[in-house]
Amino acid sequence: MFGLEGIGVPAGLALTLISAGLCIWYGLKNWNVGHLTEQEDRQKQAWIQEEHKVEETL
Amino acid sequence: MSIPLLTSVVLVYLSIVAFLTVKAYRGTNSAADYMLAGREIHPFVMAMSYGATFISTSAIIGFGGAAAVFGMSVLWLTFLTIIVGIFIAFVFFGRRTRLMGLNLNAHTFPELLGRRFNSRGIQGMTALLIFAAMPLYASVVLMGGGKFISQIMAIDYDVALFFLTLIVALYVIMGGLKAVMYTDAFQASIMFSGLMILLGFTYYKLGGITTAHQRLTDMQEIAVKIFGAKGHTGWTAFPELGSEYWLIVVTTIILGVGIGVLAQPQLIVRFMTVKSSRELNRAVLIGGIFILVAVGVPFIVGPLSNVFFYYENPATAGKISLLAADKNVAQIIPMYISTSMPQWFTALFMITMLSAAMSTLSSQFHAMGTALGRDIYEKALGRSGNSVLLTRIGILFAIMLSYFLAWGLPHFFEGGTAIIARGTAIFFGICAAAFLPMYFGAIYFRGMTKLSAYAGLVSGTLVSFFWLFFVHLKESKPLQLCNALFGVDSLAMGSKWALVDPLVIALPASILATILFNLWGRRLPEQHVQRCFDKIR
Repeated sequence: MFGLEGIGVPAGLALTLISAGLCIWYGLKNWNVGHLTEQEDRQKQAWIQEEHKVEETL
Repeated sequence: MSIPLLTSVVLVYLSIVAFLTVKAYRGTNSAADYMLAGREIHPFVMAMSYGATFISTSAIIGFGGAAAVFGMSVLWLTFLTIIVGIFIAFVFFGRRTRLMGLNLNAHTFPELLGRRFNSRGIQGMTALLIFAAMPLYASVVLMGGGKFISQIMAIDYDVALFFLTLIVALYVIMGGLKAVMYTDAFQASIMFSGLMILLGFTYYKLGGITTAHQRLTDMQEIAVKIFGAKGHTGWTAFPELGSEYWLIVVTTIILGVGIGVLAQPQLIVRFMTVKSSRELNRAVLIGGIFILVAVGVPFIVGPLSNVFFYYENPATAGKISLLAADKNVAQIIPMYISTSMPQWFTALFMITMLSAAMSTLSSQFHAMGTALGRDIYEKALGRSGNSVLLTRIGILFAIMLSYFLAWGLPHFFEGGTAIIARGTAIFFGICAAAFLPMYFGAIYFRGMTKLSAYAGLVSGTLVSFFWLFFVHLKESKPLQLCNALFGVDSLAMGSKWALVDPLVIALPASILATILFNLWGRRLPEQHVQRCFDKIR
């Protein structure tokens, strides 16, 4: 395949391209999946406030 | 090379780095900003920063040079870095790490583990191992960058090393992780462009994709004649099963780095910098493409350089790459660039290498600094103080340590460049053995005990160091401790065990210890476990 010899190296090249394709497919398929939930946002804001309090105390 | 052209390119490059540093500095107001880039990083910046941190000068020059010797079989490492380092890391580790990090308000990788197992000891020990082992990795990356700059700009190595360290130190200390990640994304874009051009030019020069590969395949007899005794079967074929070259390619290069990437503290922390899991999903696409080019191109161009040096370059006609570069593996890629590429590309490649070195270094300095300032001093030792200031002091200390190591190593080791790829592989192996079972268990197994985490960490570390000092010939011989105690360079002298990478032994030992010790020890309170795994399904 493409001037390469045996099975090992062509298989490595094919798997490399397939795995890159898998990343592209997964990224496109889930492009808008997993957006920040309200609960996560509240949690984040709570940590920020707590951190500010600690810094003020120090 | 034209000095005015090179100087102009470097000045433009440094100006952009300076602009990004100032932007990050102005946007850094809290510990979360300094250590986690405010948990608001764009997926493009996150993915490119992850890739640029992973790919250092040693990956391009060191491993590219190694590919020129071992051949295209190392392409399996490209496959592993994409499937393990990007897909598995982002999809199966990234989402859980981000959520658990947010649930526990963890700012660093040791802090994530420490809070998960409710143990300041685990946080301290993890940070201590990072702080003890990472300077070796950072110093070899510094050496690679310093040596490359000194060769291209014809300046003294010590001078190049000093200025490289100073520039990286300035922007890491000033802007924290925001500066690191902004500059990483810029540097990764340069690396991507430089490597794409390099691949295009190489195939064009050698007659196209299939023709170039075929010409390399036709050099099989030459490869077997020179390296056949060690198991080489040609540059487009896999080494002979179980041979010396097979063991090096499979256990050290492919498995050592391919699996080690999962447990890199400076990479794991990036999962906690994004706003939501959506950003991680998007980063899979960007990261997959970047790693395909950044890891794949050197592994294709390295072996093909043999065709160029043997047939196309009159000055080295009849010589394979290794002989053309006077048997200096780290010289193969720079020599190929300077002899085969146009002058303007040499300037671009110089920036590509500078970017590769600086992006990895900045992340290493930041990871070591947070380990010392935040995890050891502030948390494990329980001293209070301004987190950002303590981390800045930690980073400064880490930079000085790495600088002195990079300055001293070439004075003690002859042909210092050979240590660059080894230092990288050693660090990846230690991280995988010591951290991976504990990290995997932490984010997947609710019932994992503190004792089990300690067992994995301690056994992985001890077995790695034992194998490095007493068995694996590549390290045990120059370290000389084995010889001083037992009168031999390796306890497995004469057998193939002396060629087996520490990871292959230490990782299974660490997994076994983690599983066995989970049978003992008290389980963590259910309320704490619930808090750790909140929203994780």
